[in-house]
Amino acid sequence: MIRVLIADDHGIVRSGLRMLIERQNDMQVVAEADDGVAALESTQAERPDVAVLDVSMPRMTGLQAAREIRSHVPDTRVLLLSMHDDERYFLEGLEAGAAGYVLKRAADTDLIGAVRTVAGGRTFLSDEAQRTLMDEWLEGGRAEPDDPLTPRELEVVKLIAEAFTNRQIAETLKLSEKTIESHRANVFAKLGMRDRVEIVRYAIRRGLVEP
Amino acid sequence: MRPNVTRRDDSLIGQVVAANVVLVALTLFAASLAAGLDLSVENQRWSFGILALSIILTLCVNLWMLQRRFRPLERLIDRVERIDPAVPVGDPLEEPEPVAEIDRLSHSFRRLLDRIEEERRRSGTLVMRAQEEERRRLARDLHDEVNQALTAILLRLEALGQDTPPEQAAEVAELKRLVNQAMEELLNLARHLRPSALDDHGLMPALEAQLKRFSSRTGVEVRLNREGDPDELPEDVQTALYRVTQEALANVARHAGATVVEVDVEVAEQIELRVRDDGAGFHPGELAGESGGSGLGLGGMAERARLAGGELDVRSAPGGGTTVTMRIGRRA
Repeated sequence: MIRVLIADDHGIVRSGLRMLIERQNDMQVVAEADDGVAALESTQAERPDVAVLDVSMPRMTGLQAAREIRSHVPDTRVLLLSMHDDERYFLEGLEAGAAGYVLKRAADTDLIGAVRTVAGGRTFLSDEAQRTLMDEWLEGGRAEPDDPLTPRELEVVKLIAEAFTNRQIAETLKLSEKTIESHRANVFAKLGMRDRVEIVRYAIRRGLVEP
Repeated sequence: MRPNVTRRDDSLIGQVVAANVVLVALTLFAASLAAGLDLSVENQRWSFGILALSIILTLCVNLWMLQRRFRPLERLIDRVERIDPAVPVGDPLEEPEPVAEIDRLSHSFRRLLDRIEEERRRSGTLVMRAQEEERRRLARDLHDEVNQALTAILLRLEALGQDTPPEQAAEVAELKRLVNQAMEELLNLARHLRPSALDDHGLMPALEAQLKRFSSRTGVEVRLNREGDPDELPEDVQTALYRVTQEALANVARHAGATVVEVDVEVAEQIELRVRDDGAGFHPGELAGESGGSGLGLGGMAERARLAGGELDVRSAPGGGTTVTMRIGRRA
């Protein structure tokens, strides 16, 4: 049985989600939340297998909630639900540590499959998002002839792109947090990037993380 | 287009000369009385001749001097008449005037013009801002209210479809398709009103997304180059850059028949946006008939550029493509 939390600030969407999910024999809705903070609290209390989060919610956005869940309840897989089909929004979602990104427009065909996929430990992206990221990845094939980053920095990039915090990266690579901080600063400076979303895009292009 | 001014009959110079004529004539008359001159006396006629001559001479000199003195005023009037508040070009009242009063007049007129222009820009900016705000609100409502309701319908239809008898399955599928289509159209409408990416991510990601969609809709290849950091610009400027690009791309789609569009955004001492296509172009003369925002929408673009403190430059030639350039000086 897949235990699911649903969070959306619109009651009608929540009830639609509940109706569809409860109709599946192998799924059960264990909690509902109407904003990001409530979603985080319920996730901590109920420890669902999958948290379905609307990206734009009051008090705490779905993205921020995904980050918090990722660091506090790592066993819960986050599936983001969004209106937006711009590439930047998917990248932000991945950067926040979501395991899946479903467009509301494609919720009828994609949602149930996506819940099963992420519950099974894999990642799910709506077709459109996959296509976009694929393009991004293919473009990377001809770029970056001389990589400015050291192998160690590339490892750090990969972990940043997978939404690890500095502390988690330090633990994973068995280095001090200070060292990670300086690696991180170097990476941003060398690549001339300003935020983590650009790092995610770079990591996808370099094939460091899977789209 | 000159205003109706009767120049000869009651112009200032005419009135002053007339007054002078009367004064001089009176003075001479009084002088001749005081001197006891008598026209009937032969040798005194000669004196009268000299007096009459001096009257005419005085008046001529008077007229000449007055005209000289009044010329700057006439020039000022000419220049003021040439000013078209809709097309602020340079400053026609720049040179100092030789006469103190006229210089003052020229100065205060300049100040008045500056104030009018400032006020125009201020209220134009306010209107533009209010319009963007309204569009943002509308877009958000479309997203938040209408599209959420449609999402709910879609989810319920999917749930319903799972245990619908096969003979009704097709109908449910069709309903879902319709809802889907409505959602897509709403999304496009909302994006056209005000793309949320512009507020969530800043100018460059919003432009990138806009260009990608333009390319997939029209098949025109797009390139986006940037220099400097446009995402740090004030919101009004970002909006102006986004909207001018949007309008320029719409022109390309409508008229150009282009295969490549290149968009450059440069942020240095000044901000420069260039949208260049390799399409059919047009004859610059065609622009003359254009008024306001119709046709190519150049009026709207120019107004946006002006309100952002910049200017728009459109270059085109038949067969030579079109380049729309907006330059904005950086405010300190």
